[in-house]
Amino acid sequence: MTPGNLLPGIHFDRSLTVSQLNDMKLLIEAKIKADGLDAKDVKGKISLKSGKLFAFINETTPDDPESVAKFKRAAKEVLNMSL
Amino acid sequence: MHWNSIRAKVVIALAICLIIGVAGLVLLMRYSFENNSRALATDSVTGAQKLFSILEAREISKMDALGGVMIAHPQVREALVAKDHDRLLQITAPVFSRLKGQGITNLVFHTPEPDMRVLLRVHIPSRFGDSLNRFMLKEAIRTHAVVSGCELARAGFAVRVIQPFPEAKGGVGGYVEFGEELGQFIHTMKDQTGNDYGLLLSKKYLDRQLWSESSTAWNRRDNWDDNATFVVADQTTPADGLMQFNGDLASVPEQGEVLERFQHGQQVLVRGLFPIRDASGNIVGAMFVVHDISGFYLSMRHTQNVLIALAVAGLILITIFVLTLLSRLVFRRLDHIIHVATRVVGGDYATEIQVSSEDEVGQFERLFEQFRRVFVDVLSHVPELQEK
Repeated sequence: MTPGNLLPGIHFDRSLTVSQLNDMKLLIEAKIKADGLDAKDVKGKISLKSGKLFAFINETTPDDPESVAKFKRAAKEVLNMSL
Repeated sequence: MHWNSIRAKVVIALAICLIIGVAGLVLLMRYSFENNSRALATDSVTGAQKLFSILEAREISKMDALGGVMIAHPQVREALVAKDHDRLLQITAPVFSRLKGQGITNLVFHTPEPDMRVLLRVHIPSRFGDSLNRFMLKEAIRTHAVVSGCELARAGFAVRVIQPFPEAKGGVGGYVEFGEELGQFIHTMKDQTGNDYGLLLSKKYLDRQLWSESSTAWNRRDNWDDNATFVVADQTTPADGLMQFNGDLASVPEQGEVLERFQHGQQVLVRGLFPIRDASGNIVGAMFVVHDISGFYLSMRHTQNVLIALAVAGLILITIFVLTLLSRLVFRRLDHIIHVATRVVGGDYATEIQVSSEDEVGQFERLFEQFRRVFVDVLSHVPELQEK
């Protein structure tokens, strides 16, 4: 899986990130923007489902497998988006 | 609507209430119907018993008066004293043919004791000369007075009046007996009440051979074998099977007995019976009463259906009302709290929860708004977020 071109029309600069969680966050933000969704609502739902506050995720956020799995599951449930 | 949501639980609870309510309603209606149909059956039996007594008294009174007229008739007296069968028949036959229209079925002249015999049966002139051994005749001989009551002969049951012909020098010159078959009563009773009746006679007081002969004579089906302990002497309905009774006629209580309700085709019927005693006090038969309660039953069913429809409609309206009320008072406000909470987590720190009431949910709204402010304040001190 290559996060940089996972979804059609959604791209980000993969070289800027080192955190998988941050990669996924950027993908989600790109999806929200592309679909014109309510960003606060979507981020809130994913944060609540994953137990990871969206705002706290950045390029230095460590990737523990459990958090990554929860984040993927939350994205799938909220946006039907496979990361 | 998720199955374990409050909405679903409320709907399920109200549906259970509806089922219990409708079941209760049906049971109540059934109970009421059972009681009322039993009361109707009791009334029918009691009413029939009273009517029977009235008719019996009326007919006895009539036959008593007829006996008086017969005794006062000099030619009848002479023929009886002379034991002149043919002469007596010649005089009384025209009278009897008129009396038949009044319901009189038996007219018998008896010679006096000690060798008391039938001098003439005006209704069956060819049969005479036999000696009868009946209670009422014995009573008439014993008392030399008018004896009346119901008495079962070997082939039939009749209300009878026996009167002695007093002689001028004392003693009795003979007896005259009027009788009216009880089978006729039930048709009069049906005319007056609309109920159906059957006259049951206990077999132990009847003679099988005579019953068969009388059945042939009266063009009646020989029904001796239809029931174990009794025969249906007459009934007002052609429908067989209505006069069902498995007990012993002698054990029927004096005030009558109500039997089970039953269905006959489209008809719903209640039935009962009361005992009939003969002049000696023995229970020799019973009057079977059948009362049609189809109209009452249909009315009850209609009322039941209307009540069920009203209960269902009422509970549906209540369900809608309760759900609307819950939606306004609880669900919408909880949805708003969830919406705001989600957005706060998503980074919207500006949207506030408006406390819309001071009720329980309002207290939660207030608490959550306070919590939201604390949360936002905490976040405002997070350096990573401030940088952004």
